[in-house]
Amino acid sequence: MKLLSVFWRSFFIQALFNAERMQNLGLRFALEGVLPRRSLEKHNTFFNIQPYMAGFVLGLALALEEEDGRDPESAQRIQSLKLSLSSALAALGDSLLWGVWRPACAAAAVGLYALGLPILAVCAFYLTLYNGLCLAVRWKGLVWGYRWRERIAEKLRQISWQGWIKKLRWGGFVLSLALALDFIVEGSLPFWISVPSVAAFFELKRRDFSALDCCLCLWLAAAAYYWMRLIAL
Amino acid sequence: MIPHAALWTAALLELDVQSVGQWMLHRPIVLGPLLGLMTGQWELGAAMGVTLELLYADALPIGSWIPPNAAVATGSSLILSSMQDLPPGACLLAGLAMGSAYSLWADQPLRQWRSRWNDSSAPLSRILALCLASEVLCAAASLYAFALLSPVIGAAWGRLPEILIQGAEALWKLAPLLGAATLLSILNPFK
Repeated sequence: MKLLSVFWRSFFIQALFNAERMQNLGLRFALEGVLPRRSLEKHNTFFNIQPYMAGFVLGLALALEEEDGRDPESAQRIQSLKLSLSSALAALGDSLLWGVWRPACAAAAVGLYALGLPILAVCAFYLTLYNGLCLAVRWKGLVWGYRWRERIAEKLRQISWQGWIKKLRWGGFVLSLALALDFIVEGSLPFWISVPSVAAFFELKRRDFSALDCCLCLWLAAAAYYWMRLIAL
Repeated sequence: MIPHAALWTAALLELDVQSVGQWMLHRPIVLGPLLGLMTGQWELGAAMGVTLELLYADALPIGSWIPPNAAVATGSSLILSSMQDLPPGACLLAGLAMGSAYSLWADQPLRQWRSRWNDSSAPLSRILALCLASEVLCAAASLYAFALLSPVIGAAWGRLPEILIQGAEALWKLAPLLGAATLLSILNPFK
């Protein structure tokens, strides 16, 4: 029951995200239902993690607080474990879930839309696929953090995270390539416009141009193209 | 006429961007068709949602960086298209601009404002409710302001040179390619 309480409250871990200490208030809110106030006060320090990976730290903190939260040395240990685990998991979550899983799910969903699937089915597919993994990570993280405590880092090292990231990245890349080819072949534009366009936009994105910047460049380029055609005529 | 239901839906689902759940209900591929249905632009809503989803594929909330707000961008583009007779390319540009502007004038200040609650003795549930309500009202106010400005945007668009108007049509045709390039860039296994 207490894990369930922490689980549903963990969906608000970013609700009080602030510039000074980031997710400190969200962390306290998640643990509020199960820990006494005096235990929560020490968790008002800086805390930041990828939101789906927060379960690991919440489970760990809950288990250690229950074990011996009153001992000042134990409090120091909980803080240092929390910080070291959160920074490692933040990097992992950012790479895996934000950097690969979310765009790969988008590529798969848009691919289905391009194949002619109704948009409602595409939305349902996207939400189910994406949230399936993320909810599992949230819940499992909480359970494992609570069960394994300090050994959680050792247990996480046994999973080949980089291998999974690489596989998902490749899968997403192949899907995106197929999507780009489909847009080029099925689109209403000639090849000599669409192929260089994809290459040019890829380069702009490689140089960290935002979506708005790219669209503005494209708009001006298209306008220049029409201007040149008018002159030619 | 301002589509109030669509506007408030976008404002509520804006909470999913950061504050509540992150279930991707705010993503353009979900919000676009939903708002399209609510504003009677089903097909455009789906197309705009898919296009914006691709364009925002690499707008990731990593570290302290605040990406452009996809929910506000989607809401703005569809509200504009429902209120003004503008081409989809123009609505796309306006939506992208609004998404970027919102992250600067609302997301960042809200984040700063929430710091004041760090050492507050008030119950966390009350602080949470206040912060969530503030965020929804901020999103709604921004979208209403945008909706009220839409006649100005429509009039300004009509005064643009024909070349730029033609360019916006080309932008709409090329936007999916730009989106595919965005995906290729972020999922590039060779970088």
